[in-house]
Amino acid sequence: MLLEHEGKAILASCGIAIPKGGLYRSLPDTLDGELIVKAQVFAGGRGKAGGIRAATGRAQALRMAEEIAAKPLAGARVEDVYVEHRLAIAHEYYLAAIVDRDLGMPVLMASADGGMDIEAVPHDRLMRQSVDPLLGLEPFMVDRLVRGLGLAGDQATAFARLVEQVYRGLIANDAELIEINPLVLTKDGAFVAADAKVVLDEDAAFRHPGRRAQPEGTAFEHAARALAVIGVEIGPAGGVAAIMNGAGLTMATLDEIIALEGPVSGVVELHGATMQGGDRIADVIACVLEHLDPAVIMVNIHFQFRSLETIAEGVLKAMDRLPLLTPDRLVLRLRGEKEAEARAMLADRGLTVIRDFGPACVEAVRLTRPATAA
Amino acid sequence: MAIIVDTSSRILIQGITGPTGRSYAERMVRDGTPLVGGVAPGRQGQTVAGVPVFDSVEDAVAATGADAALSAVRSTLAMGAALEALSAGIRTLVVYTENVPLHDAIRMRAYARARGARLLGPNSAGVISPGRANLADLNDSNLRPGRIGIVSKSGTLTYEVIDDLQACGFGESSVVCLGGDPVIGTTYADVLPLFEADAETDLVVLIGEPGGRLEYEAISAMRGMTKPVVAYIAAQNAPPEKRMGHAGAIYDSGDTSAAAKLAAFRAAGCEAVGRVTEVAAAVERALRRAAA
Repeated sequence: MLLEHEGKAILASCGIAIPKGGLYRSLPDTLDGELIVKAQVFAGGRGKAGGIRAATGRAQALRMAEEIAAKPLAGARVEDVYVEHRLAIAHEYYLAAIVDRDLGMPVLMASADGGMDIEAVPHDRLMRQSVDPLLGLEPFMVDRLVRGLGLAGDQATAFARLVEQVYRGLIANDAELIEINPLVLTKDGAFVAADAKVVLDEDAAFRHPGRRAQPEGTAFEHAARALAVIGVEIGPAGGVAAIMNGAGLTMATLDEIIALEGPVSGVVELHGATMQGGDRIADVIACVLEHLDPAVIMVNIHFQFRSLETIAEGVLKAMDRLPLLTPDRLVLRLRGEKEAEARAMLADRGLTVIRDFGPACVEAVRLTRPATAA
Repeated sequence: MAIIVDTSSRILIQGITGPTGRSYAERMVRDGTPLVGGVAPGRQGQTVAGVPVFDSVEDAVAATGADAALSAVRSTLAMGAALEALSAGIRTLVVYTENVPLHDAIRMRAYARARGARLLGPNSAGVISPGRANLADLNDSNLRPGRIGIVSKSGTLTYEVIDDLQACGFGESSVVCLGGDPVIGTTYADVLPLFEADAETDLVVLIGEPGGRLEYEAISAMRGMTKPVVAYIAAQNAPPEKRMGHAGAIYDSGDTSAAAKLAAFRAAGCEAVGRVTEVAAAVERALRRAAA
């Protein structure tokens, strides 16, 4: 997901009008008059939390921006503050292009009831038009949306153009979502995007060299991403941190440890990192130890195709590199391809190596408890 | 019988000269899977694991009569490879590749549907009919043929379930992995009727997860079935605002949480569990109920 100002830059690149504005630390000199000051956060509901304020003149706007930047907004870190011209609103519409995962195709959504949470818009007031990717956007699809909103004349023509821009923007940017809410019809009759919610598909980054968005997530989650694995911080230090191959096993391990009433500091899905070799596995273990400081690191790997030797190599390298990584902080669950070879590599290191999923989870949870309670 | 792949399948590997493709080829040949060739542009005339390599899928199909393919190419090439395979007449295509762009998945899914072909994936662990044909990353020698069908989004959860079932004496007729990505070519509702029609399947284990509505479509599809379905819905404790690896799209309509899906399967009369360690016992209960 992008911050509003990053999303607006995408809209502008699609030819969609946005209010003139800038980030508060580098506000354009010409920006003055009736302004609006907006917290840049990765969470919804910022208006209600006081993250959107009206200002008159740049001096007041900058004061407000400093205030907003100074503290978290309803628990969410304020990444930046964006200041832009306040629009003279005649009406607020809603327009979005999203990927509907179940239909397996893009869907355009439009409503004349913009400005509110779209979930709150009655079903019959929200137009939906799917776009078969083998056809692309056809005029009949656009016409249906425009007619459904009751638009006519120049406004219909302008809205039809926006629908095309949003759809083409979704495809051209490899986006999962482009949402404009509200899409403001100004008193002088122009459509301007007053907000932007854009979610880009990170898997398509190779088609967009130079694209860099400010990522969401905790310091641990950022560090994991830098290693091309998926880290999720769950709870405080001192619990189990579990490293798995595959999203499914990751989810199941979290479920099992919680069902056993064990504390979970975080989980990592290796996401194919095994192909990068043992050093990468060691890097992931080091990242977990540094950021999560768990009582136990559980390495829970079931391979039917790749070799467990890579995992064993990574564990050994991590133990050599990290004096804090003592054998009593590790539970290894290894099953599958080259299991015997991997076990042989790990022998004589005082490590707990378990074959079955359930007992390995039980052992990991046991090790988080104080010895006196055992 | 089994479903989707069998001894009569004629299988190609796209990307057969890469490390992943080569490993697949060697294993398939070792396990006696009906692998007939591979594709790697510019490598026509070579052989891998004793099967011929072709420049294009079209050439490979013409020479071998292949009707199924497993694609293990890089994610940047996955869409092109899938469209090529479908265009050449491949009827069953497994896209094993991870990290395929979402809009590429959308196009390959749409084209497969238009061609009436079966696409598993992207990010699918594949499909296997144990002892007969293996178009999956599962190791055939760890499976035993039997009368349980499995349909799952997740490969790794499928491994766990297979092992636990085996410890209780159960084997599988076929195992179908749909893929963990938000947009995938084949759904639970597509696969359930195949198991229902398969004389060698007695019961289906459905492995689901939060996000999307495919599990709810499966419940609708179940209503026409006589065979019991046991549902396991993972990620009962996934933080709702975070992605757990399967790049689930952010937008969902209605409650698509794991808890809601679990409740829906129970309300539909299924044995349904939220822990992987509970699946085998649920299968035993469902079989007892069916026999009673």
